[in-house]
Amino acid sequence: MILITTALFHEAKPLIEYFNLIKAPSSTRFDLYSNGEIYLVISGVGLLKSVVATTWLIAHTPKSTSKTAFNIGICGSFSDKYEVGTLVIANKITCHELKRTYYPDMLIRHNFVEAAVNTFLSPADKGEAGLAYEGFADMEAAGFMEAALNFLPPHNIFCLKVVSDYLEPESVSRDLVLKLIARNIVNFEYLFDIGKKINKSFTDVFSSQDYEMLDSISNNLKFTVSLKHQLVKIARQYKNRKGNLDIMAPFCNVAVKSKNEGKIVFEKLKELLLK
Amino acid sequence: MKNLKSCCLNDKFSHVYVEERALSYPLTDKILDRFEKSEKIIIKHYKDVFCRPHQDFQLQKASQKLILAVKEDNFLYKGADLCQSFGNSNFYYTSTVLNCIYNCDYCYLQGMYPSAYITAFVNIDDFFDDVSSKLEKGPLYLTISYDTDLLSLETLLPFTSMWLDYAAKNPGLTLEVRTKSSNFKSVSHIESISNVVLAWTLSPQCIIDKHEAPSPSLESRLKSIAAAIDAGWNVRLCFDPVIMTDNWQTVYEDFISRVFSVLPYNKINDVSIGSFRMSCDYLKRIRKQRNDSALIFYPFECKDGIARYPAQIEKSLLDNMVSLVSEYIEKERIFL
Repeated sequence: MILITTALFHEAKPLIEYFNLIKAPSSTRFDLYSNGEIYLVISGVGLLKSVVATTWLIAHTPKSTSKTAFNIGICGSFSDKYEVGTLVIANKITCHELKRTYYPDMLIRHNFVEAAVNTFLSPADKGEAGLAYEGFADMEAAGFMEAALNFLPPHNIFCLKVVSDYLEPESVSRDLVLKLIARNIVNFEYLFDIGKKINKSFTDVFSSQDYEMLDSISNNLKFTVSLKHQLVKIARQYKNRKGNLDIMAPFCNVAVKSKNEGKIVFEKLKELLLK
Repeated sequence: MKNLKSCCLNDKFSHVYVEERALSYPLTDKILDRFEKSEKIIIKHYKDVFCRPHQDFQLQKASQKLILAVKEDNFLYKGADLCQSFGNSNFYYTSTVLNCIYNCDYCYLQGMYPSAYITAFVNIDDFFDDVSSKLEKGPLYLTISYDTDLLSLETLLPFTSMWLDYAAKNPGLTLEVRTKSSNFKSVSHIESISNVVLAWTLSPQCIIDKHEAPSPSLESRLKSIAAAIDAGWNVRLCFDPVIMTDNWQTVYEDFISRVFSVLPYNKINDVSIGSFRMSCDYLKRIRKQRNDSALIFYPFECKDGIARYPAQIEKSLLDNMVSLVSEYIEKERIFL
């Protein structure tokens, strides 16, 4: 599942159009757009809004162990060696005012510019250029990281910034934002795909049939929640060792009249699975 | 994970994180020279990267990074009860490097550390100072390669040679360098040192293939050991952990026979034998992260916080090994 936060509608619009995202009618606090696989929220400008929106997005999307979060937006560059429109992947995100620095995992291979992003509480202009900052300037990345790192593993967190100006925020028009994001849409798609591939590599050892069998045995044998939990745990150990749960199949047809009888059968099952 | 590595993941050490205060150490420059192509990221404290929540140890192993840091205190630790002291009193261990380049299924590091990134402490002189102050009170037995495999990293991180140099000047110190590597050549230019023991962990090839990827083959380790013996080094063999596997008796019989057909057993200092054992907490943590290792999911017994094979199985494994090894090595030189 891909989660995206952008600060501005104009940063979101090309993504909404390209990925056919539809505005969720039930959402009230934030505008949420989705196609069932990608979920996008527009946070508004600034670090705090970014924290709130990112947290809200992670909490209000369907439960999944494979959520990958992207903060997408424009940024200013401290150096003119990067062309306007360059896509930057942040490898270090700092909010100097709050004295906080965040590091996403840089595991994926790519050909984009990788650099530090500095998040400011107000738009960074030429005044900041005199300071000894490296990399790029934005207003949301640190907020996004603060929230995302609380819930997601660092390899599932990406800050993607497109250079829009050289610390002349007043020079950035809405049309330019639209154009810069649209120009990088294929790059975003590529990174989403890698994010999905990484998460696909974490497979559940149980198949859906395994889950059905575990449910059926637990119900037939009147297991308590705690006993079912134990069964799942030792069945997982067994399947990791032996590769299947065939040994449990005969127990699908066993039924009991009381929880105590169920406990007796559980002990037999446990003995088999721990052999 | 293999497919993922080839299609989408960065090579090992694509990034090097360097603590601000580590920048002033000459060793940092020396190490960074070996990582010219890596992206350097300056950090405040190594824990800002190493101790982030929710890190995936196995995924990080597939694209390991390096952190260069400065250790502030606790340079030496008292030897743990689970580790052999080989009859030495005053047993300590130290970790100038955290984490290992190999990825053995049974390794406790996956449960102990929140990150798989290799962290190297560049203020090695502070470690030496601490050892020196302890040596003033008497002899010291120090192992330097428990939470890593220093020799395997020597080409990138020259810690083994620095420790060897220090040991040569401090005869009161007995130093153990434990490894699975076949990288003796990286220190072969150094003359053997009487108070240093090079200790190789050995396993049957089928165990290496199944549980010790991507460590060197048995044959290449044996070649490295033979070279060390030839050069006059004290060599210890560690058959640890002995792993329960199909036909384990035959597997270990063939293995021991192969080891001592290659190595001159009269030139082996001593041997240690141990079976799988791990803190129950670490095992629990590893099981949460992995579902690709049958070994990790073996129904070990947890007693006094330690997971190990059921007593009877453990006894058979160890008795069998002692009997096999004692055909070549006197029992007084076999440590359990």
